[in-house]
Parts: sequence; structure tokens; C-alpha cells
Amino acid sequence: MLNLQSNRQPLALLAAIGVAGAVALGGPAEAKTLRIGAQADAGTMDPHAQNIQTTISVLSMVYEALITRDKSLRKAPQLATSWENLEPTVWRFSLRPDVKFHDGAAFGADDVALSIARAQAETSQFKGFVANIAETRIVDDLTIDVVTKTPDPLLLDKLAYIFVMDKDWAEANNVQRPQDLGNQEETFSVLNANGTGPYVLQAREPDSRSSFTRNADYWGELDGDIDEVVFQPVSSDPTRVAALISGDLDLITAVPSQNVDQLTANPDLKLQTTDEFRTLFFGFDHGSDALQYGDAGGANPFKDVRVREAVNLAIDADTIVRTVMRGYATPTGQILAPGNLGYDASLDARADYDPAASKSLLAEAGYPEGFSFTLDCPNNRYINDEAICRAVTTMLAQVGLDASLNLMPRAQYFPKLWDRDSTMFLMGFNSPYFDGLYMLETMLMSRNDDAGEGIYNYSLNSDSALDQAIADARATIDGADRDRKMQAIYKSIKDETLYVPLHHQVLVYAMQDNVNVQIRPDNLLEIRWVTMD
Amino acid sequence: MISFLARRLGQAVIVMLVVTALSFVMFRFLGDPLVAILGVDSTEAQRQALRADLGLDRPFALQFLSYLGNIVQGDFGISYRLGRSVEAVLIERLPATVELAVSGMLIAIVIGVPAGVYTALNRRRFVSRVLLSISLFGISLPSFFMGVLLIWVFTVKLGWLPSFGRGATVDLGWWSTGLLSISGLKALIMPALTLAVFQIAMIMRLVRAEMLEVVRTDFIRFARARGLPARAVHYRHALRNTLIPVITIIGLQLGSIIAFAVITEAVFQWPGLGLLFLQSVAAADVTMMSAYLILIAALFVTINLCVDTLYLIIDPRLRGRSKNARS
Repeated sequence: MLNLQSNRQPLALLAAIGVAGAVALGGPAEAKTLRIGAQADAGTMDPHAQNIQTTISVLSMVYEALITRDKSLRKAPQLATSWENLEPTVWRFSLRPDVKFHDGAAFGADDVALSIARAQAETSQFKGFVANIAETRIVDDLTIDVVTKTPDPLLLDKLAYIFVMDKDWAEANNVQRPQDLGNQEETFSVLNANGTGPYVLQAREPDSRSSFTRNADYWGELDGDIDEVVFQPVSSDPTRVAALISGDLDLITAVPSQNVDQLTANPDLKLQTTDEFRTLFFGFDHGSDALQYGDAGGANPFKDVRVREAVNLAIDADTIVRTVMRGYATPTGQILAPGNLGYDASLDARADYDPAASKSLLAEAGYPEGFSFTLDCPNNRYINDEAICRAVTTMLAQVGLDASLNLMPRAQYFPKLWDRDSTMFLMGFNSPYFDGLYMLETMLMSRNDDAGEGIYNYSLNSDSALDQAIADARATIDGADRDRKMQAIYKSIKDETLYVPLHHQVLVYAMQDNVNVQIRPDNLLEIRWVTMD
Repeated sequence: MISFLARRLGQAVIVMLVVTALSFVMFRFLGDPLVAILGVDSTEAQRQALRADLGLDRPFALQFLSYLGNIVQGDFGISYRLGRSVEAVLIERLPATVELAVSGMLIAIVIGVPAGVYTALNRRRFVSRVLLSISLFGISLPSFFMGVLLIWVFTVKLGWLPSFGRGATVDLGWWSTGLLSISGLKALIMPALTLAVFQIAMIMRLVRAEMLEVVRTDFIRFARARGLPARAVHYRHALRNTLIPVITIIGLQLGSIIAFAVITEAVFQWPGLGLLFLQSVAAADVTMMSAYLILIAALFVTINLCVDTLYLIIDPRLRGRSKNARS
């Protein structure tokens, strides 16, 4: 059996004596340890197995990709020093020389090739990120070409998620692909990690503690100055908050909104917020001719833009943000979050809450008395999702829309959406690529699973003009040009009220006064930027 | 005697089979493991491939039989959430829960038994009334609230104890203990107290009620008449006779706090079975949940079997009855 206990007492005692000795001899300055408390643990140490932000965030300390983001969130070199687009479908990457993995092996082009192949494996959750890659060609030890099937403007953004693993290490430990849960596999890379990153995995105890120490041989300079990172999941909200107040933790993510005021008032602590890349909105079934769940006299009113607009006018998003979210969200009139390419701030303006206008729109559409239907909603997926849906149900009742609320945990909710088995649903979408194209392609295009189009189009909306416009934007490599095209598309989505937007979520971190963090809108904790005074 | 045991064993096997079937059925319908494995965003093609891969497209009875077959061989499958073998994870988490439950129970016994004796012997004293009121409070306080309250006082206000976790552990081969390090002991105090509060109240009330019964019986009166010192009468004769039901209840309660320390473990992020179960539920980790339920059922079946056998040994009347009774 694997032995994971990090704190063997005799060792700890020796270390303590050692430290005491060092202090007595006037040893080095005190090591800076950052203790992070999160709501959940990383599920695995395998870099390609689990596409969950917490896991990616923890692994980003150990593993690195070809490309990263700088502090202004622009793409920046990491393991690649430069890249060029030789042909529309061929990208050449020059790799960083003199980079070593934690076990001492040298980094090179074959490691990149293996990692991309690994991410393409059937058992990887990052398949979608590399599905468009046809092949990789190793030019020399520090040069690699990546060939895509079609011109892909997002290739660089996608590669920023593909962490690089050492080929020899993968072979030696028989982990050339992520573990196959279906075949009951247990693999070495679930508990062990070997990257090129600034921190080395020291000990891993799933669900309680993972510790990382600074990589002395790291190739780059760090803005951050943390020597040791201890990542601890504390799932109970009050405990996590208490642990921060008492000084057991230095930084907590996912601060519960009801504790924000209390933490702000504490002089030893500070809070930091940023708009998250996640916008909440409601979607409707456009595909069925009659309501799947509900009664509107055999018709499907949600196909009518007036009815969708009536729903939009009946929801008081400002009140939801003020009461349910306690101010920690930004009401919006669009489905794309700020910071993404294609985002147009003017679309954030929301139509004023107007139940009277909503009622008259419903009457105009032929439903003066409203109608009844089921609203499906998860209760453990988004911040305050249950409370949001309860509030909306009440608001809809004011205009005669009789929504019965169907609350489910996410393990039941998403299979229901996958089956397109919902009349009205709550959704929160984040664009992993800092680019609005992904959402257009996967959520707004007509469903075509083989082409990867409309795979999250749970409303089964299908509009060939829209498909055309999105395909056109997708074929546009030039960023500024695509930006303009996407802005126009997002405007048309808003005009058609294809979805009813609520708000952009806000990320709240709380920390000791001496900790300095810059929060990324995709909720990836960038350890390279964290300092402690 | 042998037929009694055989019958009980047979019943135990049936109970285990039923629990296994139930947990299998329940969790297959409760949540879709595909969400846990593929993540929230996946395509239809991926899902179908995985469904076939996991054998979820086979007839239900066949799935159950193959599951049962694996379990009999001690193979509970792979946890979808942690990507590790279920039995390895269960074994890894067991020590934390057992140490917590046993310490909680010890605290409860050390405080509960004397308090029960005291309140039984000094019924009208003010202190007794105070103790009884406190115990009422202890029985009605939800452990979640109790845990948060303790954290607030001892961690946030006084800064004496760590708010969560198990502290440093010492590895003894197959058992990792927190009892051999200062930080481990400090970390144990609050969760054990949280678990103990309810048990203290219950043991105290049970001991008190039993004592009141026994003190009234003739042999105690005779013991007093013999001129034995009060201390000997109370502790050697009276208390001893109250202990049989008390020990039975304590045994069963120990089982239940091993099984259901879920809330306490969640509040203190105590890395034991309860927390594991809670997180498995949240992630729809079907294999882990099923295995946990089966394990807990096995625990209770074993405890019951032991208790039944003990009764049989202790009480000759049961032995006589079991010969011609058809229980």
C-alpha cells in the first residue's frame, strides 16, 4: 500500500531539532509557508484526467504548459519561448532550453508530443481541447510543429491547458495515458507528479493535505516569494472561515457570501474580489413543439421571442444580486462574461424590471393568463443556485407564469440536460479560452456532436443564419476581426433573447493582511504571483 | 447453541445480501457516475463509450451479479472521485474514524458514569439538578452547532486548538495514529468532545435510571444492613449491577458513532469515513457510497452478532429458551 503520511514524528522531531540548530547558528530567514484552504480537494495529480478548475489550479504549481497568461491575462510564453503560424493549420513552437523536470530529466519536444497525445487519449477529460490537432511533428529537440485539422484561432488558448509531462517518466511508470476508470485501473500519476513547475509535490493526502516546496532548480524568475505551499480542503464553510480568522490558514477561496461583512470588518484580514468568467442565465427548450414539462394548451410558448422576453422582463436581476448574492455579483443582459474576446460592455445593460410590460407581452403572444411549466435547477453547482431559482419562481408567478421548481444535485441535473430533457433550466457557462468563440461554437450552434458543435446546446435552438455567422467567426484567425464579428453575434443573441441572463458571478478570496494575491477571473490560483510580506 | 449461532449467521448473511442489493440499486438510480468521471461538460459520444466501458449498458441483474462476485473477492472497484481502489481508501480512512469514535466514547464514559451515579445518589442536591439540565442541553444540541461553537471559542477566541484536520500522524505500518503527537492530540479534542456531548448525556441518564432501580432492591438494603461502607455498597454492588445494560448500549452507540460521525467529521474536516462518505455523495461516487454502506452494515451485523452471543453466554435462561423457541 502506498504510504502517504507526511508527518512522521521522528522525522518531524529531527527536523525541529535541525531548525532549532539553524536558528541558534543564525540560520536563514524564516521560510514563507502559504496555507490555502479551499472548498474541495484536487481530485487527482494526473494533469490530463480531470477537467475541474480546482484540480487544474493545484496542478499548475507543479506542471506547466507551452503557454500561460501574464498578469494582464494576455498569452505569454511558458515552456514555449515563441511560436509562429507557418500555414493556417501548422504552428511551430520553439521550446525553452535548459528546463528540467523535478526528477532531473531534461525537457524537450518529445515530452510535448507525448503530453498532447496523452491529452487526446480516450480516458482524458481534455480531449476536447486537443481534438482539432491532427498530428505533432518533432523538428528537433527544442522545436515542434503542431498540425490542426482546420485553421484554429484558439489553438494557443487550448494549449495553455495542456500540461507537459516527461515522456521517460510516463513510460517508466506506465502512465502514457490517464487512468481508465472503466477498467478499474489504479495508476502512479494519481498520487505522484513530476513537472517542470516552480513547486515540487512533497506529500499528498487526498481530502486532507497536499504540500509543495519551492523548486530550487526552477528555470524562471517568480514574482511570488512563497517557499512552501500547503493546500488543504476544508469543506465546511464556517470552519474554513474560522480557520482563517484564527490564523490556521493564510488564504481561503470560495468565501461564503454571508461571511463577507464579518471578514471585511476584521483588521487582520483582507478580501479581494474579481468578476468571474461565469455568467448565470436561464435557457429554454426550443426544440419541442409542445412543452415537455408544463401545460400551455399543447404549444411550446418558449419558441416565441415575446414569451422569452416576458420572462426576461419579469425577473428582477438587481434584487437577486442585492439580496440573494449580497452584492457579490454583477447583473447583466448578456451571456458572455467580461474579459473574453467578443465581449461588448454595452450589452451588459439589462432591460428594466417591468412586470406590467411582461404581462402585456405574454398577452400579445396569446397567454394573457400565463401558463405552467417546470423550472429545473441544480442545488450544488453555482453560488446560491437554489436561492436564485426560488426567487425567480416567485417573480415569474407575479406575471402569471406558474413555474414549479425542480431542484436536483448536479449529478442528476446534468444528465437531464444532456438528454435535452428540460423545459427551462439554469446554466452557468465559463469560457475556458478567454474567448467568446467556444461558447458560440458549443452552446449556440445547431447540435452536431461529431463536429463538436452545439454539444452544450441544451435548448436545441437551431438557426442556420446564426450557424453561418459563427462558422465565419471561427474561420477568422485575426483577433481584432473576430472580436468585432463575435460582438455582433452576441448582440443578435441578446436581441432574440435566446437565453435570459442574470448576472456575472464574483469571485471572493479572503486572506491574512500580509498575503498578496491577484485573482484570475477563471478562478485559477496563480501561485507565481502570490507574495507574503 | 450451535444451531442458534448457525441461524444467526444465516440471518446475518441475508441481511448483508439485502443491504448490498439495496445499496447497489439505490446508488445506480441516485446519481449518474458519468458526471463524476467525465466532468460536467462531455459529449454524447464520450458518454456512450464510457457507459459501454463501465458495463452500465448491460442488463441490471448481470451488473449486480458481477458486482457481487467482485465484492466476495474483496474488490469494491475504483472510486470515481479519487481514482483509487475503494478498499485501499476505506482502510486508509478507518483509523481516523476509529480513534475519534473511541476517544469520544471514552470521554463520555469517564464523565457520564460518575455523573450518573452522583445524580442517582443525590437526587435532591442542587448540583444534580444542574447536571441534569446540562445533559438535557447536550442531548438536544445538534452536533453541527456544537462543533462550530467549540471552534469559535477554542480556536477563534482563545487560540488554543486547531480548527480542523488531524494534526501530525505517526505511521505504524497499517495504522496511522494521531494519538502519539502533541498536534494530533490537540486536533482530537474538539471533534471528540463534539461527539461525546450527546453520549455523555445519554450514558449519564441511563446510569442514573439503572442506579435508581438497583438501589431500591433488597440486596442493596441487606448490604447496607450488614454495615458495609456506603462507598462499597454504591460502587461495588449497585453500580456493578447496572453495568450490563449500560455496556450493551455503549457498544451499540460506538458502532453508530463510527458509522454516523458524518457531521462532526465534516465540521472539523476530520479525514475519516464520515467525511469520505459525504464527499462521495456530493460527487456521486457510486462505488464508494455502495462500499461504505456495505461496510457499515457489516459493522452493525457483527456487533449485533457479538451482543447476541454474549447474552447467550451470560444468561442461561436464554439458552434454555433458544432450544425450543423458534425465534
